[in-house]
Amino acid sequence: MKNIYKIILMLSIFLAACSTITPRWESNYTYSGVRISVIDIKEWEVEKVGLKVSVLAEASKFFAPMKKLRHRVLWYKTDGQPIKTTLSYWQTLSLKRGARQELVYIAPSLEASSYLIEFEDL
Amino acid sequence: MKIKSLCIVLLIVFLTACGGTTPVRVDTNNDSAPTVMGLDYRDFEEAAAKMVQSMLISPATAHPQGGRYILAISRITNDTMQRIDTDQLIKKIRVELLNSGRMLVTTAVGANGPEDSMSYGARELRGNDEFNQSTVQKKRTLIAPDMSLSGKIIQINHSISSSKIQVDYMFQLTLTDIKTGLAYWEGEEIIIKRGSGKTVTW
Repeated sequence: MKNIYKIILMLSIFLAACSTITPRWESNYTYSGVRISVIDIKEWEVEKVGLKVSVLAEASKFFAPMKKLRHRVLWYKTDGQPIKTTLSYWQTLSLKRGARQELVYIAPSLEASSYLIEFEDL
Repeated sequence: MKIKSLCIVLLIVFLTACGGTTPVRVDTNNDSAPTVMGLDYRDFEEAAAKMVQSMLISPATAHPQGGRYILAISRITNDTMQRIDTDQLIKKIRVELLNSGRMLVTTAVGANGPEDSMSYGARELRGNDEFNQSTVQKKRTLIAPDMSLSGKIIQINHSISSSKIQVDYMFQLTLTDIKTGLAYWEGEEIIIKRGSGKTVTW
């Protein structure tokens, strides 16, 4: 009887672990620090303008009262070629403890079909 | 003898110390050096990127038929205390607009005459027997601009204390529809720097 409970418990844990859905935008940003967490990334295909991306970031409620980071977006063509653009410059970001910030990026041309957002601690 | 040896050693140490000013090439993608009170390349890069982002978001810069607008560069005034070549800002914007597929810049028309006088110079070859006339540009082939880009860079100095100053830099640009004279897009980016009052910003 004890073994059955054990099996049910193991199965529950296994199913719970499997049900954690990774957002599809998870691979669209990189950040190895703990100062912020990315809450959401939205993207729109605007007619005659191209790809528009909005990132919602939230500063950690712990540690320093002001979190200083830098961020940039790298753009790629459909075939994976990187697009060299001034729009990929590093921008600094200062967030108060627990504050949220929306960052908006616009594709440099209609050729841009994918992107990678990079965050780095300063 | 000992004094002579000591002098030689001291001379070597002195010369080695002097040789420590080897130039270093800066990686402009990862330049973490402190900023200066004046405008440096990072300020122009930031201002240009923000302006371009604002232009690209604006539907006014997208041609309704899907083609490209022809842009003429008008007067960009340097109203700062520094000697600035405004092309440091404008060239970056031009490159991005060209790569965006939205606009082409004409170098045959400008506020101070054509940027590249060769468009006219090459046409002076008309009737010159030394040139194959079928290769000389025909009349009415130059394309007139649809839009004009004008602007200003402003500097305002404020004294915060006896030893500290604040310098405000404002980058203002306007995109005018030449047909109607109406400003289709306008942008302003502000960069503020605070630092020692001893720093010279001109």
